[in-house]
Amino acid sequence: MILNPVLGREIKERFRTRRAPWFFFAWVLAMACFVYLIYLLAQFVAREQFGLGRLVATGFMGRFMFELTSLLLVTAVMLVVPGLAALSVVGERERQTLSLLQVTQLSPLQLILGKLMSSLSYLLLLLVAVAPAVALPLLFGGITFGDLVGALAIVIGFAVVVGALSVWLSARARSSRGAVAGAYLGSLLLGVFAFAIMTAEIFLFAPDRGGLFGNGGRELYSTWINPYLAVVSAVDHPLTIRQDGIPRPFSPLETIVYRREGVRLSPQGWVEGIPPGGVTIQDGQQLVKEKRGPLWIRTLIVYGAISVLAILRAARIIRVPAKRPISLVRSRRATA
Amino acid sequence: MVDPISAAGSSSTPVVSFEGVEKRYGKLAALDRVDLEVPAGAVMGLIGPNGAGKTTSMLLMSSLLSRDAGSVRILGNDPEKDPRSVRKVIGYMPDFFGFYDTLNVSEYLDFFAATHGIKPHARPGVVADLLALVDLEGKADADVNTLSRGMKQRLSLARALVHDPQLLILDEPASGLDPRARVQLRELIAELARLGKTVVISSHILAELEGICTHMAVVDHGKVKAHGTLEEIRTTLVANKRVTVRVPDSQVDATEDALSGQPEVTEMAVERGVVRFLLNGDDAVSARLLGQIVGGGIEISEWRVDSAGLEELFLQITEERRE
Repeated sequence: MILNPVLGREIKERFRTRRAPWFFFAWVLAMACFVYLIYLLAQFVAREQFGLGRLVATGFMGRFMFELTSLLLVTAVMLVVPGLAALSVVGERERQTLSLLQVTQLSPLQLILGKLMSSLSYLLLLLVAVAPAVALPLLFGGITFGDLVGALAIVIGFAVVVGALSVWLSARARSSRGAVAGAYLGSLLLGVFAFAIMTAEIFLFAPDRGGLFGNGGRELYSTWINPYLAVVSAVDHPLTIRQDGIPRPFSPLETIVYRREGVRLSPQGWVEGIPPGGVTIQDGQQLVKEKRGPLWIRTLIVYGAISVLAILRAARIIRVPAKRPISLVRSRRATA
Repeated sequence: MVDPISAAGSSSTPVVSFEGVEKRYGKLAALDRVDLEVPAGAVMGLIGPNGAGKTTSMLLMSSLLSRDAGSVRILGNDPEKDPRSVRKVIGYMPDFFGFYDTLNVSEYLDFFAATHGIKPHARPGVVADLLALVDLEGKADADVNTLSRGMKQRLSLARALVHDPQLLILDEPASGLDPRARVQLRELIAELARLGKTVVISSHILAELEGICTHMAVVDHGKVKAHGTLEEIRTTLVANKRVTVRVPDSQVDATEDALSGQPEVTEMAVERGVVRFLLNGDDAVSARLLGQIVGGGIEISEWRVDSAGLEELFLQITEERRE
């Protein structure tokens, strides 16, 4: 396989800056500290719930740590990837190298993919660097290796969509400041503002449709774009996870995910899986399982579609011959 | 307005061909029905004041900009319809450097060689050859930021040459260079011409182009005002030559009388023992006038005809339109 020249150059560039080793060190240190804090928190919650039965609690601790670490990774991607990708194209424009690349044999798509891959490969390296800390919950039990792979798949899928959106916004932007602001806005839209959109969707559409979840409820489409819910969906199985009233990091998110998938809690606090054809519950009402696939699959499909669109749009923006010459934004470097 | 003249000696297909090319930015006509041909092996100077349309022409040749009307062909290929073919045969050097701070000189060239699809095993040889050509062999491992402006310009030229293009498009390459660096650049372009490259070069520094170019196109307000070899432009477009006649003081009035009736003579000025005027005609007209004066018994000690330099031609051609 021939390495994309842009990718090769960017890897060199990223690791030659003076701040690169410091950033790397700070990242590993911060993640290690967070995971240690998560461990302490899990230990505290387990002790509160299980008292002296710490051996019994290790499985719970593993699960607790894994859930919080997964959410932490999603948050890290949301905050790091825009910073890695937002300057990718606008940076070339500002240092006046974009037109030099445009007259080479590289296609606009190769250029954009090189930019995206360089941002993601750096993120991948960051993830590999903290892999031991992230995999620590495996030692405690309560999760499987498949759970870990599922969570990482969503994290990487989220990184791809944030990276692709950031590169697209970078291609559109006239200044690096605008590109960075736009990239963070896009990232927060998926990760944080999606909850506000969910709330709005519930209030706008749910009341007159017989309830949002379960029998007769409609799909909550805004859940499809949120990475936190996708992680919960990917690593939890609603028919196997016990809801025994002990708070866990996933608890508030599980309510949304399970109910969207047609599963509800029994009055005793146990999850009731609803078999095809539905079940009769206490008041005689039939509760029918919605014909809805798992949320995480839909999220990955939506992320894939957004990523492809963003990449193609970005490639189109930098395609030449153009109607107008590339407007060279004045940068400190250019004006110096 | 002066009609463009065709380039001499262009027996083969021109490397660059513009026919009725138009390009507008809003209401501004950057190029207005431009016809231009650059024959193979020529060093064509594009000369014109700021905003004349030089850079726009070069962007069209480089497949970076689309035209509004007309036809552009680079070695027979349309840069809009088949940009990848055009990019294989052109080397473009804009009027800025475009370096990556973290790459050294040889890595920079290696990267651009890779972007042109040169295989990894061939790239070290290509880079070494280019560094030798632009006299930067000793700077292969140097940070680009440590290079002088002249060296940076030569490195940019090496970048444009990395895929061995047939046509080099150099936008204001001498801009900001010290005299020594300009001489080096001029020698380098001459060497490239000897290697068979066709070069299109734009500049405000007219004297620089006069020494390098075989052909010239004067561009002003989006139009090609003159186009051809330097001699063609001199003889065909600008007939006015400055003539200085030195005669004895006693014969100055007679000389003035003899010349004043001639339709080809304008702007005559008389000083002690010297008559100066503009001659609107070729060498034959000059010889005829000289014969008439000598035949009238005037003793001429000097008859000097000065052709216009490139600078003067440029001013004459661009002034003409303003008038």
